Amino acid sequence: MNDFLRRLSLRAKLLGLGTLLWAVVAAFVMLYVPRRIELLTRDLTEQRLTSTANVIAAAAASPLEVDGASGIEAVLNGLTTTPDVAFAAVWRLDGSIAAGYHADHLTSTGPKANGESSLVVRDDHIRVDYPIKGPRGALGVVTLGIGLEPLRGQLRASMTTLATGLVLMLFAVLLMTHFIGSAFIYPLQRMIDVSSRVAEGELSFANGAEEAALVDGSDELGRMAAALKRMLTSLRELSAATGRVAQGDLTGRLTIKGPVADAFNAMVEGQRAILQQISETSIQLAGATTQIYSAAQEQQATATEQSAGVDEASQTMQGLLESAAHIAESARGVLANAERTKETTDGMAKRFAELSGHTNRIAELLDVIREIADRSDLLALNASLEATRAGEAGRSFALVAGEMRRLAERVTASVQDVKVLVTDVRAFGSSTLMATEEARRLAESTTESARQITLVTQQQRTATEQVSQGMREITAALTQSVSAATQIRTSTEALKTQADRLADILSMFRVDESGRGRAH
Amino acid sequence: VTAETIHGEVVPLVVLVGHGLDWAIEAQNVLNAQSAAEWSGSPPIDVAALWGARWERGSNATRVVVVSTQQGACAFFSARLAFRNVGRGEILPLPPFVARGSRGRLIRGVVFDESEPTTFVLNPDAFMDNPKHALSDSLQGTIG
Repeated sequence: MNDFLRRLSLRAKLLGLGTLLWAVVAAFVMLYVPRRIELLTRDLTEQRLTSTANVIAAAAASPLEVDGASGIEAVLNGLTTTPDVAFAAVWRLDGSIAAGYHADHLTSTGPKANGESSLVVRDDHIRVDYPIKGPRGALGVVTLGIGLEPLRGQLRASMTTLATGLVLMLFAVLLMTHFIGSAFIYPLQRMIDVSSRVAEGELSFANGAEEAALVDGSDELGRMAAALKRMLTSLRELSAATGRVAQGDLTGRLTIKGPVADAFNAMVEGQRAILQQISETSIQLAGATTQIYSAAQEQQATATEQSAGVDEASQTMQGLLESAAHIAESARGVLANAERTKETTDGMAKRFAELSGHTNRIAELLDVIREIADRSDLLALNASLEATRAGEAGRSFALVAGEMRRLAERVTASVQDVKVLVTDVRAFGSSTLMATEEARRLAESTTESARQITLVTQQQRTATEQVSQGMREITAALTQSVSAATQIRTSTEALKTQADRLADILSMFRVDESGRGRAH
Repeated sequence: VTAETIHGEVVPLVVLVGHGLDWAIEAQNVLNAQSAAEWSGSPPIDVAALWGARWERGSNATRVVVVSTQQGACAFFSARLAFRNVGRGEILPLPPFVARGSRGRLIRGVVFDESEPTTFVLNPDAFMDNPKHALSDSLQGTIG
């Protein structure tokens, strides 16, 4: 419905509005006015009927009191001058009619004389029964009836007149709507044309005829046209200022007043301040970017060196790890050798103990040999003495005895030498036994040391592995750091390029009147 | 011409071998030799101790030489014994002023030989003349 209404022209809307108002008025007139007229007419008729019955009752009271019907007839005959009275009758208290006018229309018996009046409306008439009262009380009832057909005829005539007026009123409304619409729509159409061209971006007109046409009168439309012209002037100035701003000139201000101009001027001021800030920021950004670039290069170089150093340290740690493994292997070998040495020294000690026993036995045998040799020497000595005493005969025996003595002495000397050797062997055996004991203790110590070395080497290997793992993690972190530094350097290069481009862009703006205030 | 012709009859000597100095007893007077370890008689005479000398180092088998004298047998201690034949003329008498001394009387003669140490030939009878002196310092010598 709203879309339908929006699509309608203003002229059609005015026509529709006038027609609608006419329809409302017509409906009101046609529905309310006849009924109201009928009711008013009926009220007037009832008042008239009641007052007439009152007059008749007052006039008929005296004749009824004396029972003179002629007087009453005379009263009723006066009703002939009233054509709208359909019938009339004067009833006695006993229900008989004392006098009547068109009484044949009465279809019912006489009313009750209860002292109260009553009004009855039928389809074709209105009837009133009015009591007749005398000084001594009720005397009878006056019945008076008026036909409704004359009233209805008057009402139809009134309705015809009203309908004719409404039709004329409809024509008048249509004509008024047409003229009023034309008076409003023509200047509005001109303003619509100008506004459409402005809306399409056309702010300059060829000869200003359209603008001149807009200034038309001092009524609301004229004031609207004047406002539109001022708006055009403001838009032209705003367009020119916007063009200057678009060219990068931020020095101008709008001279027109109003919130739009204030907002535009504030916007230009804000842009100027922002450009100043951007300029300063771009300078700082360029400086900071240069510093960041240098720092990123240094960081990258440092990270690369650190990475190389950590790689070298990692390789060293790997070498340490391998050395630790070697040492552990060697320590295990040393441990095995030391244990074998201990077993060997134990065997040697046992052998030396046996050797000591043998040397003791040899010493005993040597004593026996020495004793035998001594006795042999002694025998040979005494034999020599005997041979000497035998003289020439014992000479050869003396030679044999002397030879025996030399043999015995050689045996004794040899035994002595052997005893020295045995003593040396004993001493050597003792020292060797001590050395063997020392070697055994040394082997035990070596075994314990080898165990300790194995344990320490294992701990060192574990620690070295942990350090190596740490070095690997550091290497990974440094690799990430190098990558991050490279990314930072690349990003900084891009940022520097953007800062240079920003400076170039800012150099296109003019922010002060001297022209020196290039933003960059 | 033999050595016997030059130096007289051969005299066998039982030599008590000392350290650079020997003592000797004529073998005819020696009855026997015994082991000092098994000797159970009177303490033997130690001539090395008597002259303040030392015995030649030998085996541990020290000896006791039993010698017959006019007064009986006497015993001499020795570390080592040897036999040596010399001519009677090689046994040279001591000078008189030496031979008259108390210890000089114990020496019958001396034998010089370039290839052997100087050898004093003992007079066992002299020992028996003064047995107290002869036995007073017995067995006090040292074996070199």
